[in-house]
Amino acid sequence: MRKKYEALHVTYVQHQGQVPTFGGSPEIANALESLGTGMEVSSPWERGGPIVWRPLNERRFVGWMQGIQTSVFGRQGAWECRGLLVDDDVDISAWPWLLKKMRQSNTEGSLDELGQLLLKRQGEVAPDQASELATVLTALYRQRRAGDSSPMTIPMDIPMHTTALLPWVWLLGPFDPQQAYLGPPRRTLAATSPALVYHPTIGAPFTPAIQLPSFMDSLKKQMTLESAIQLGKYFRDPKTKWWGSPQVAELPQRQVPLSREDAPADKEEKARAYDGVSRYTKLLAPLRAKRHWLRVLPWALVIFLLLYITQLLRPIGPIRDDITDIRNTVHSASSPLRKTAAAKSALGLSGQATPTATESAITTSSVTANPTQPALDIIRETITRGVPGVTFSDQMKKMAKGKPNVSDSARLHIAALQTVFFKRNWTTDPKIDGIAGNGFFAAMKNRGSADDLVRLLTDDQYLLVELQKR
Amino acid sequence: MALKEFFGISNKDIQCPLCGSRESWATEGFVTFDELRVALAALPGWRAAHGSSGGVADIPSQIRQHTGSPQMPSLTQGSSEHRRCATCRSLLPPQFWRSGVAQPLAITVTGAVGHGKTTWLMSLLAPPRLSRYGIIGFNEHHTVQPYDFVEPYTISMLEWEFRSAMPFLLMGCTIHHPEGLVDVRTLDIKGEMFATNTEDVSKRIESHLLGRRGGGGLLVIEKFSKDGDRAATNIAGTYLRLSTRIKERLHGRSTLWKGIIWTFLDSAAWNDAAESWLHRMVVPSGALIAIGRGKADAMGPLAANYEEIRQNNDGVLISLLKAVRGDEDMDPDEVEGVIALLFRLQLLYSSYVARKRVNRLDYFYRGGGQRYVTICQELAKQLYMHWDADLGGLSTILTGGDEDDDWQVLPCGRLASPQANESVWSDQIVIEAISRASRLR
Repeated sequence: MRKKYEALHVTYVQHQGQVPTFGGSPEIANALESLGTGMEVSSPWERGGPIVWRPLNERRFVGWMQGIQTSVFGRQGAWECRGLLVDDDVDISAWPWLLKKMRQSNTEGSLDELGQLLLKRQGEVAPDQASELATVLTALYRQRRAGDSSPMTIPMDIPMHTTALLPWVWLLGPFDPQQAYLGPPRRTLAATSPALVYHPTIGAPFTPAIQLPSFMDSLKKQMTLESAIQLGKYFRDPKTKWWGSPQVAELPQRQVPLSREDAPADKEEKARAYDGVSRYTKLLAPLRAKRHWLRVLPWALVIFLLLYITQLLRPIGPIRDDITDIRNTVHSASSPLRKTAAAKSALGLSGQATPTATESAITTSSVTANPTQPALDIIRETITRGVPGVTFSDQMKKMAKGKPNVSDSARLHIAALQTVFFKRNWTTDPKIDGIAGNGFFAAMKNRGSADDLVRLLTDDQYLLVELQKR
Repeated sequence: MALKEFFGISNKDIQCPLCGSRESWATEGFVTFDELRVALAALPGWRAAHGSSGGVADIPSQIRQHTGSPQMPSLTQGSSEHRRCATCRSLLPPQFWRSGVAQPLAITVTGAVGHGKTTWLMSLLAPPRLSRYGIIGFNEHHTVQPYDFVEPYTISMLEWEFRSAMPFLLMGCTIHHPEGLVDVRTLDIKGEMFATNTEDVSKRIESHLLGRRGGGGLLVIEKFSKDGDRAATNIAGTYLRLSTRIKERLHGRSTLWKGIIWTFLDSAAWNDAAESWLHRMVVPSGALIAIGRGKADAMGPLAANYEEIRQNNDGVLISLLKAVRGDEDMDPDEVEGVIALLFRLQLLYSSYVARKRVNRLDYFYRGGGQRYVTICQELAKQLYMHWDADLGGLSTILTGGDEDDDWQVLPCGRLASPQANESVWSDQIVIEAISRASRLR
């Protein structure tokens, strides 16, 4: 009886060229050229990535592809590809759960085992999850919703995205996984027929960070394949207007309701969306709860310490100080470009912007595009330039020069706080490492009675002014 | 009609070797390389014509860093000087459609994977200006002007010598020489294609060589190595079928230029067996042995030996040629040693011309250079026949069983220099193209 899949391995063979060593045909090897040629062969991207495609309009191929370094055969542009050619009636949803095996299988036997697991939908372990996943998914759903026909780019800036972003996007993205073609990671778009749906593009810019629906927090390693499939179906359901609703555009500025009671009662549509979300994330409630606590825990600790030390039992309300003076100070110390950016109060350490009366009148494109940028940029610039008396660790300098991710941003903020603490003689160590260790908390404990500690922690504009004071 | 005549376009003469169409149209404007790739991948006709079912392959990432995404002629109709086939929309270099004073010449190269087909075609299409190991070199009277585009790539991309992932590429160049112009159109074929659908390949080669007026060259790029790696492909079979068919269709209209570009001769090693063979077979052999022992990258001290060989109208060289031709029992080591000697003789020619500061072109045509080069090529042909006898006898196919049949071997190699690997005698193909085109007039 004919198998529902066939193992395929194509690589460069001396004197023979780019040929299949088993399975497939030379024509399939030729068809795969459009995906393999042009792949990165130098570190750190030489490991390649997964592909799902249909060479020659025949059977679908699911496997792993990577470039071969020039030094191996003395030829530029060689590549290797291994995986399975599968019949259309085979559900290949399980491959993200078999990613490790897929990357390592390059013999007929091991690929056959992979095929058996794929047929039975027996996943081994859920892929890792990149923190950028929800941002990427949101951008892709918006692109689909807007009818934008340009290629769907999956931005990648670290090799970890290959295994922690691509499988998830394929599974949860706006196209039915059974129909979606995913290319291997490349710096340039692959020009193929049939066309790829998802183009993992090394070095492509991420869309500005956005506030995400809380259920995205549920995507964890421990998530089962079945629940991931269900979640993907929910996302793609045209009745679900979560991603496409006008409110989505405002997500960067709004807090998504965390409970049903918080959902705007006057907007039935939103409530319905929330119902759907909660239904599908019910399975994941325990994990979600854990995730939530993990996220909140450090800040809860900080606030607890503050309250304990300062004996201030009043809630932290809106900052009522006149921000104009502070803003002027920041403007005078920044470049013209930064001036407009700094004109809006940036997110505080808790991730919440502090609205001001004058703020709504000042809107610039950079601020609207990404509200987290201004304060962080000034901190980065300050660290790069250096501050007299303190020494920033090499890692901090590198972080400040590069493109910071979420955890980098937190460390940069902490570094700014450490610097101010040192300037105020709250700490004695001039070495700034961006880590909120014992010394950091001890400084707050010792000097916590200072009136402006809360403000330093919650108002980034104030922090910037203090940071830039001589 | 008048416009067509003005641009030298004649419908009768236009032919796309990839789909056979005789119609073409002018393009308008440019798009980037990446935009064009994506657009071409969506054209089934273009993909079928180029034998690329899966799409349009990119260039290797390392090369991309240098070339970026250059501008390419668009797929829009207009009135620029670039033309596309009306059926498959392939970009046709002017040498495929232009008529006029230039003598047209079609060249196709076949060969196994990794033998250097594109590399050596590039030495014809875009010869390096500063090559120290050329025969005639290039100056303002003698230049090669390539057509910039080799869709989907450009000439400047191909100069980086990467593995061609596209099965078929159309290239063109115009050779300017003191006696006129030669429009060379070439079809480059990916090596892997000779292992699979050879019928399809043969059809395109035939269409390319016979599609327009002028002569055609069917060349095989063969790499010298101790282990023959030709077996994996059907080069010999394809060549036999092609040359027979083309010969039938030519009906004496023109001749088919058949030849071997024998590359990587620099990898042949001098040895004791060759030295004792020379002792035995060639008199006097002292100068030849001294050259054979010499280092390829330091030929300077051997100038006196070279002068000795050139005396008496290359008498020693002719003795060597006769010895190789007359000895049917040369063993592989002897053959390899004499190949190494041949390569050093080629290097000495270039070094001599450079040292004497003579005009290379004059020296070739009027200073005895042509005679020396011809003897070396003939020596290469005899050595090739010895070497090839154990590998399936491509030389027998080339002769078509007729000892006097016209075919030749162009010996080439490379030499590492402080700057790069420099090709040795890469301009042989240009010289031969001029010579062939002149004969076709």
